Amino acid sequence: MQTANNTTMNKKKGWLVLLSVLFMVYIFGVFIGPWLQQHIFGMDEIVTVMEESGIDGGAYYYTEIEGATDGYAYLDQSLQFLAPEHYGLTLPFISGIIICLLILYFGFRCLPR
Amino acid sequence: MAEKNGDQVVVDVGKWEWSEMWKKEDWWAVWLGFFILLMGVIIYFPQAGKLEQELTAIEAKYAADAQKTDKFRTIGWHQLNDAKKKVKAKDIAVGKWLSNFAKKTHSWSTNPANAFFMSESAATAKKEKAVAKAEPLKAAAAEALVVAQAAEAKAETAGFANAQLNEEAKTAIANWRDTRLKASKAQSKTKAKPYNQIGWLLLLGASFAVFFGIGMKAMGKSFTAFIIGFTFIWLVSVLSHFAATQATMKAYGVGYAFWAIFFGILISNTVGTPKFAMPAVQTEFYIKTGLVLLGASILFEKIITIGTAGIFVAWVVTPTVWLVTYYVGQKYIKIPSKRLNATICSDMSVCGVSAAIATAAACKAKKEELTLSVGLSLVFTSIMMIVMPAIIKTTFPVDKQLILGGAWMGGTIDATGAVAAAGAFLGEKALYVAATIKMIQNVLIGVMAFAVAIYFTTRVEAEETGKKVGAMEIWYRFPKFVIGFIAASIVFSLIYTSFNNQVAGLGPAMIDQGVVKGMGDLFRGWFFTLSFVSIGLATNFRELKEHLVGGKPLILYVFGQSFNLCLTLLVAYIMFYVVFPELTATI
Repeated sequence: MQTANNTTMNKKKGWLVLLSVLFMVYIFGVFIGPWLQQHIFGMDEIVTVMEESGIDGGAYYYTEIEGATDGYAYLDQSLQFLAPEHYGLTLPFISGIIICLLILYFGFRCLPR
Repeated sequence: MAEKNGDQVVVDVGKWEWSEMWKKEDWWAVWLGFFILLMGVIIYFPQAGKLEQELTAIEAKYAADAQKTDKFRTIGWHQLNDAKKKVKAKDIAVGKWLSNFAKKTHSWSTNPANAFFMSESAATAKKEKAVAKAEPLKAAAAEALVVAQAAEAKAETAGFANAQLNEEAKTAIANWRDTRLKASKAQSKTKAKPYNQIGWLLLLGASFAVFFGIGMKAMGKSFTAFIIGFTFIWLVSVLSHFAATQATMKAYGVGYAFWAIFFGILISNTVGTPKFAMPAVQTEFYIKTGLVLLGASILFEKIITIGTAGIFVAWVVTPTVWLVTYYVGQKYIKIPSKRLNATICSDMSVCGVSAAIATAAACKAKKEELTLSVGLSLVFTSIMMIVMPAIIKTTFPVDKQLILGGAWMGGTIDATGAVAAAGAFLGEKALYVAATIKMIQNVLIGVMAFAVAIYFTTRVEAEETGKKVGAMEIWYRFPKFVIGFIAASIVFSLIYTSFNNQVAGLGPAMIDQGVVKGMGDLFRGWFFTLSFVSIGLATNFRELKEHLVGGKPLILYVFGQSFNLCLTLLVAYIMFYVVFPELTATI
């Protein structure tokens, strides 16, 4: 098989390294990782919570997490019912957005050349 | 003028021709991204009338109970909330089919075959085990509801004027919510069904090959060579998800992006990337299409969720940290690459991998620079996910652990999954606050990517080329897919708001739980995986090592994250406890 670039290893060594690393990853996932989990302070408890709540610790974006949807609904309704004066486009809220845009505008202008 | 450098995540040519709109991948990414979103609109929008009726009926049933008092959240308030959450546009037959079609590998712990296959007998055994666990929890939740109803009735009889009765009702309702949450999580595990994912993965891979192959053909590349190469990229992508769904890897927060880069680099630096795969190593094409889909989930109305306190924590601290870190990186740490500096800043201050992808694409960073940023983020995310809840639990006053702690973690931990895990460890309220702050930061991705694209186009590239940049030159150089990304965000934000104006909750039901989760999100993760695999397959260790010399990226990340931790904690405290304590009391 022709290869594109990058490697300076010979074929045999390349395959050996590749398969060894894959094997080590498997060993970490199945044996070492769970063992370490019990010896890192607090980790075991966090993992239990994640398993019970079905949280994927590897998720990268809010739409991949159920907690974000639940949190949105909870906080949105809390504000609407219990503190309607703080809900929506209030003056302090708009000022927060304007401050953000001003920071970006002046900040980018002040960056070193 | 034109730049050609295969190392960049995104390459743009400084000249405009109308034919670019059907010949250039920036535009093809926009067309393909919008095609998927349009399909989502066609499939889910006809459900709007039905869902509106459902939501109106729910309002009619629970609204009076929900608004009985403003002293605490009544049972009716929670029931209204729960009922609304169940209304989802994607719960139709086509939505379920699409979910199966685009599903990643299943979770597994010791038996790798479980990632792809589960027999009838194994599913039944799993189900029986889950049912045995769920039944007592269900009974406990029902019992807790009866107690909560009695406590609320007592408080109501006193006209909600007796502080002690109100407090008792509040406690009983909180207890019911806790037991109910546990019961519903356990209940969801009783739905175990047999599956065989292999056929679906083959079908999905073939569909993606044709989908991107059409774009490649239109751009003058060989369709056949692309399809052949894509089979290899697809196999590595599936392998990445296979590793990411392993229980231990999930626990450590090691997601698919890491595995895609890792396997790609491993292959390319050991046995070498097969030559036949190279036509499908199209990092930019996949990443830009994924970003257009990401744009649809950047909904501006979301930022009002946690009120003014939240906007200051997420939208004032984040750009400040970004700019200060970038400044220090250039002025004092002297990071040689401005693009690496910017990508690390977004990665660390905004929201990890997704922000790094958007910024790297917007500033045309090199693939090694994105790889390095993602790697740094991953290491620190795993550490912070464990250390921060422990610090909060041991050092914060008890009454401030959930909200202040949640806001602190949400504003500083990079990856959303890790934020949720750390928040859930402290409690439900901390999870909600942390995940919501992170969600508001996620919305900032669009603003930051746009600002970075403008800055690099008008300032950095002008300095590099020594030419003054006029309005047309900005347009020539501006990464066009950013237009698709921003347009998707604006269009779907407007639609989301207009749905919510019809009846509260229709926006989330139609957009979040329809076009976004039922269509865009199903494919976005796969597209990012394809791009990370491509990055890995085209990277060699020597190139990566060059960026690590002197440990400057690490120093930059540590400085930025330390500043982020201090500033977020300070602003969160001031906003939640000094300026808006009455708002905090409602959470």
